[in-house]
Amino acid sequence: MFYISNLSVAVQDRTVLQNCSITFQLGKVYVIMGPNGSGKSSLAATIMGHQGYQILSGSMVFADTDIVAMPSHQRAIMGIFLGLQNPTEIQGLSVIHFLKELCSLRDGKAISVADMMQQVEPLLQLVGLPQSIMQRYVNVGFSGGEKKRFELLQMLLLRPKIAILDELDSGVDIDGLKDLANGLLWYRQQYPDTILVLVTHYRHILNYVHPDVIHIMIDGSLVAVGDSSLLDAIEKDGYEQYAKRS
Amino acid sequence: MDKTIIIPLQKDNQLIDLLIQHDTSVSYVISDQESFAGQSVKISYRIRMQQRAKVEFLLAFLHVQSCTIDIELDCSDDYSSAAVVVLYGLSGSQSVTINTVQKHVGKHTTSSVVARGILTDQSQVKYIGLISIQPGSSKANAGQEHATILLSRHAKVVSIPSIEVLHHDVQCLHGSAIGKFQEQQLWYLQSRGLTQAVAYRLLVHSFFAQYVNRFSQSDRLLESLCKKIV
Amino acid sequence: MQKGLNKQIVTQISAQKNEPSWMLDFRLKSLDLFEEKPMPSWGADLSDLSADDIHFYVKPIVEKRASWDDVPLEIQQTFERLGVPQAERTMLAGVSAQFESEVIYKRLKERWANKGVVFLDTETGLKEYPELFEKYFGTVIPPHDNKFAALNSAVWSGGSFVYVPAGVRIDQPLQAYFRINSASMGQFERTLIIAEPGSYIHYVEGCSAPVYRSNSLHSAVVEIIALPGAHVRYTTIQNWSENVYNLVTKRAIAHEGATVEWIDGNFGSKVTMKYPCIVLKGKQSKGQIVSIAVAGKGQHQDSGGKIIHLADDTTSNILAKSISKHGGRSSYRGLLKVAKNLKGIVSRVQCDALLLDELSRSDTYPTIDIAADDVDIGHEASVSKISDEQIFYLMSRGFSEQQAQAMIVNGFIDCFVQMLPMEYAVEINRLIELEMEDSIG
Repeated sequence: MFYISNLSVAVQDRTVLQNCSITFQLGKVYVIMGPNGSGKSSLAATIMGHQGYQILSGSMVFADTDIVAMPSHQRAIMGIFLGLQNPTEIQGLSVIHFLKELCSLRDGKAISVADMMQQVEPLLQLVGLPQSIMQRYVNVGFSGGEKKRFELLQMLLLRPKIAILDELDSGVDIDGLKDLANGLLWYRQQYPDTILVLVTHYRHILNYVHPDVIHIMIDGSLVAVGDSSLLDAIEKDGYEQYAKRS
Repeated sequence: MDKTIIIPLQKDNQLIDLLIQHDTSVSYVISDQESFAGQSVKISYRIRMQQRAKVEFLLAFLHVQSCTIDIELDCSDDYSSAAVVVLYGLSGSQSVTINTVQKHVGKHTTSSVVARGILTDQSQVKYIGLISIQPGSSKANAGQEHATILLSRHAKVVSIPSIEVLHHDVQCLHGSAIGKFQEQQLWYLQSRGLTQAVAYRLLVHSFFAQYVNRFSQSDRLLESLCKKIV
Repeated sequence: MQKGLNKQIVTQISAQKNEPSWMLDFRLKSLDLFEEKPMPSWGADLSDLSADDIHFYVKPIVEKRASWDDVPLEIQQTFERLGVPQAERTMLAGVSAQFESEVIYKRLKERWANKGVVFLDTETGLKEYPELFEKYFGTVIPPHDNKFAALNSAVWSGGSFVYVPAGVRIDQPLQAYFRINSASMGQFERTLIIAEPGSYIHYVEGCSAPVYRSNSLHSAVVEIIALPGAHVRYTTIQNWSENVYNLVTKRAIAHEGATVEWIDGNFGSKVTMKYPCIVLKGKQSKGQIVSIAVAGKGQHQDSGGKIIHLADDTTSNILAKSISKHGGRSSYRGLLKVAKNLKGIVSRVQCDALLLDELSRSDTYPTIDIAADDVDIGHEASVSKISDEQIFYLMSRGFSEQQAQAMIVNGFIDCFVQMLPMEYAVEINRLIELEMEDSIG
């Protein structure tokens, strides 16, 4: 289980999250929606420990540990995964070398390129990436779709307990969306206890990956929670109806 | 910008010390006139910026026979920012030497120097630029750009842009480009029916335009630059 | 303080090597030039190396061998961590000069001999190929070029002589350490490479493991002549111990249609001043310089490259990357010069510097001097720290900050590592990982 309690967060003296509380239960699919600037990505980044976000108050407890002061890499090792909205380019770091290091890290011991490829090849097929991606540099010159597929690939390789995907669907075409959704569904089948958190703008992906709980964020606060019927309400009347009355 | 000040160029050598006060923003436009033909001029500017001061300079040289310009930008206080644009359009045996120093001491300071021009005949330009980031000047952002189009094989360019950085949490970039107008661009314009002369004029115009247009009261300047070259 | 350098000593050196009289004259004239020339007024701080000290540093006849116990502990440990084979350690530490590579060398010598390739130490080259030496020696870097070229010209000892006949392409890189004997890895190596028309050679010197020397001054000279259509690539990996002043003059002349590449990795030494140069003398010749410098605590890497275009339709490329950490200082110094009345010149220069902490320093000092108009010249430089976003990305996948930095830095220098023979590439990546470990205080 993952509990976020009364979390308030600032970026360079500007408050981006106000008193957010949310409970994530094993095996469920959560969706966090909201207009631009609502704080969805800030929440995702804070959960992963991005250094630009200062925690003003509150706690985040994952597997009975408050992770608020924990460095990002330890959170990853604990089983938290964040698929970025804009995956960062790393010049000169080849995909093949990166994935080899990732697998070695995951297993706690060095793995050969051959063994790594054995694990990666089926996943490449699943997410819809060509073998040629292995020679390219991480995210350098990747199209929007390639970047998201590569994020998903890493998630499938790392086998996290909680996967937060920030705008997985943005910059991706219909076919790409289907591939990504299939990947997620496959993963949930393999690991039914996984907590999946989709931070999204649009509802398309939710046609394939059905949400259990929908949270709505506006101006850094969680303003509404419900089931998939909320989606229709948003589509009809927008987010405004949930904006806090001052 | 709060205001734009036009500084007339003097014929005798000038040394100008400017203090840009905190929270003010001002821009200066300085250019030579036809009466400067055949003259030699030396100008030195030392500009110091207080907190959150913002200054922009546009200097243009078309007529002087020879000119040396020294500009020292001192971003001593936090959040100060300075931008300098030096444009030149030289012909005959005109020569211009541009010396700039961008010194960053305060935090979150920004500076940029753009030197751009077109040389014809036996004219020459020499650009010496230094970006100096002092220890403690975190989040400094400094840029320097020197671009020259050569329209004659006897023209000469020397470009010596330097950077000295003593703080790591900064961004410094500099670039220098020298060459002719791209064949590709000329062809494109001509393929739309424009004569070579008009195509050149358009390219010269576009080479300078975006840098001049930022400054108010500078339209005549752009005209003069284009007229000089083409 | 006993002066180690005078006419007598130089004459002795020449006599010991049984040199022809013209070489003795060359040495003596160079000595005069060395005495006359002032220390350079620019570049790294050489104040600890005053003119008198240089005399003191010259140990011209025999290099004293330290025992393994005299080798500093950190260096012994680095060998361990880099996995350098035992036999090589003692050689690299200057303790012994004999090991297995002599066997490899003999075998390779036979293969090359069949093709007419010559790969000898410079002294032997002078004896066996005097006409080539008379024709080319000292023509690319004359003694009056600079003070340290003059010094080298007076007291040079060791180095390689490589001659590749026309049309011969040597597929395997020629490695300097193959022909190492007691006179080499010395202070004043002098290398001469002659590539006849249409030939290809890749010469590699140095290694990633730290090379310990009690001598603090190394002043080498490398001359390359790439005749029409020849292709010469010269790779150096320098990791001298932290007491060494490494002042090197390297220059190549590229004739018509020739290509010269300097691949230069600077990891060690207290001070390195080195600006490999390519003179594009013939039409359609090409020059490329890929240089990296890592400056750690107490180090100043002052390096870069010079390219001079003297003919039409020539192209050049300089790619320089540097990393400064733990108070180190890395300076790029470059020259791009295009002579008058040339046509069809294309050149690109890119210098990127990474600063890892607030103690360190990075400088970029390029000079671009263009006197022709049919050119397309672009130069770009950047200085910054490792991006927070990249660190976050890797840490969010489970890598520690230190591991993330090492991966990013290795990626940063990948353009250089790509140019190395495989076994060096692996060593360099490991070396970076080690260096990054040390830098997290």
